[in-house]
Amino acid sequence: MGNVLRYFLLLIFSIVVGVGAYRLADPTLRSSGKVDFSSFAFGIPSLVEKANSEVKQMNPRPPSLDLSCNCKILDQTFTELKFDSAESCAEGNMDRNYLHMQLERFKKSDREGDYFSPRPTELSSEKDVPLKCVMYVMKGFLNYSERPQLIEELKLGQPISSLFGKCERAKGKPKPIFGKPCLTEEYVFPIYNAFVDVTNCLNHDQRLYLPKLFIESGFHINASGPGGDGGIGQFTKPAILEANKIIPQIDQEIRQNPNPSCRRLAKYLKNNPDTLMPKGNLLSENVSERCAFLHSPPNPIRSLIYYAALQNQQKSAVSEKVDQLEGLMKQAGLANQNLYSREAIKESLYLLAYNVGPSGAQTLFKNWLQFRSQKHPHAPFQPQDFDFNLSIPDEPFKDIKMDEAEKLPLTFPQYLKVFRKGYLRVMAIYKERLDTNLGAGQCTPAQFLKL
Amino acid sequence: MYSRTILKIIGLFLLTFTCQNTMAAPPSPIKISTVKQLSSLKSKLSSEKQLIKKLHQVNGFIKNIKELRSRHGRQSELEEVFLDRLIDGLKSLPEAKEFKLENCRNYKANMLFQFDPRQEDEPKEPGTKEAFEILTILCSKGSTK
Repeated sequence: MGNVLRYFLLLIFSIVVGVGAYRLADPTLRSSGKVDFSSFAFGIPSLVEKANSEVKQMNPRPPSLDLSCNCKILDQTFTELKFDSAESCAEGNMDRNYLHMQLERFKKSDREGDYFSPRPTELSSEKDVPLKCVMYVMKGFLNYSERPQLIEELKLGQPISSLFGKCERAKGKPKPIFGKPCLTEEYVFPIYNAFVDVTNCLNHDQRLYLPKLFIESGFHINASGPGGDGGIGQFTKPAILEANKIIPQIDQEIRQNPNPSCRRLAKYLKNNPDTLMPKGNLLSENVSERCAFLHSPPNPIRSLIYYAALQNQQKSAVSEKVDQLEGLMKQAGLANQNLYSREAIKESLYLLAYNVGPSGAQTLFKNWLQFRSQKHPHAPFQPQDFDFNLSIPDEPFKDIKMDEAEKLPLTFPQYLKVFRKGYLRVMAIYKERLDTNLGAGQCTPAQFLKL
Repeated sequence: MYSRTILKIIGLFLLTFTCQNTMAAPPSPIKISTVKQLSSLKSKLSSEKQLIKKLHQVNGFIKNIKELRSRHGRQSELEEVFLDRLIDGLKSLPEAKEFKLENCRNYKANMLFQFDPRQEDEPKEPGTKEAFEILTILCSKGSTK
């Protein structure tokens, strides 16, 4: 009996040493920084620390993962956008580690380890937005725990633009929760890596989405509005139904595209076949099932792919609707003096469509064109008439009545403001905030919401 | 009989009030006429059983409003946007021969996606709200082919 036990222990010892040696010898694991010496060093802390720091020195984080900045969020100045520690998130009267168990489950679902950890330089693309941009948005997004007056507003029944939700499963309705999730590495990297892969695979502009997602969800997987809109994309019933129209097609596209981002996503979808179409069915649009877009796993992968699908639908709908206004645009003087780029108009209206719908955006733009050409024919069109980056003075546009405003040759941003549709102007302000804090062009497109 | 008339008056009042929104000026003759015709359309649609006839009534309404607008020229911006949302919403519905009651869920979803995608079940934008109400009547259980 003693011999059997001795041989058994020897066998276990050999396996442990063998696996450890194999992992060290594997160049892909070494270069990705995924070698964990703790499994190999049998609990000698100093050796573990030394070995891990050597690995870090051999594989410093690529510039895209550098978090240094000279930036401000609310009134706080930062030289580095550090990750939160689980300990710091447990302090105070609200524990913000409530997604920890879900993230552990996401780690298990990410069998190839493509999403959970920082990626080495050779796996990142030059066009990828730096991690600090996403981190800044996540940190800067409304934080109720840091802003007690917002909780007061909620108690008083004031309209609140956004909350967070908690889901026990990827089914059912989220329960409101105030605290923003703890920004640990295990929370931020899956979101950043998934964002990079979905946008690269489906050929979407990452920088265009930064100001938009800054307003919508701040990239938080459990963002949840009071009207039921939820997830990174703040999905509503009509948005889910619209995305569902092309989800099977997008699923195929991801699986067949040889691009490295698509291959990583395809592996995740293969290992987790219920991510997009559970048991071959499309996801329910009902608000009672909104947790499907908040719970992890399969989010953030599911919600980001759905977001991309919705953008495709909105883009194509708006493109068609802008083309229908060709004659009116010429009549209003938008075609003169090389002032207008139809693509820039389409892009701005497609961003507006997220809030008012493709036809809603067309209606507002069409009416503005008619308003300028019929009511103010002597005010020639200028580029600033379609520039959302210019500030709108409070006077006379604050609380102005439409019939008074009509006497002025309103620019398109002013026209929308009078209609209480300030969405694009707010987006331009968020873009400016990203540019000021992290450098122009780092996180946002050079040409944004203007001709 | 009296209660129906009272309800109609309240409906007209509410409709005019919601459409005025931030507008200080009194409603134009087009607006007043549209509101009246809209109310009458809703009553007719509610009493009509045959879907095809209902859809012809909707088309007749669209035609009337178009003629009215072309006769009177451009109105206030608020009214123009309201009328565009109403008419474009109704025009987004399939033609009579293609309209299928079993697809009503899709028609409603499409109208929301096109005009007010941040709402879950029904639009809040005044013009779209009216178009959506008409669609709801068309899709009601009483409709027959």
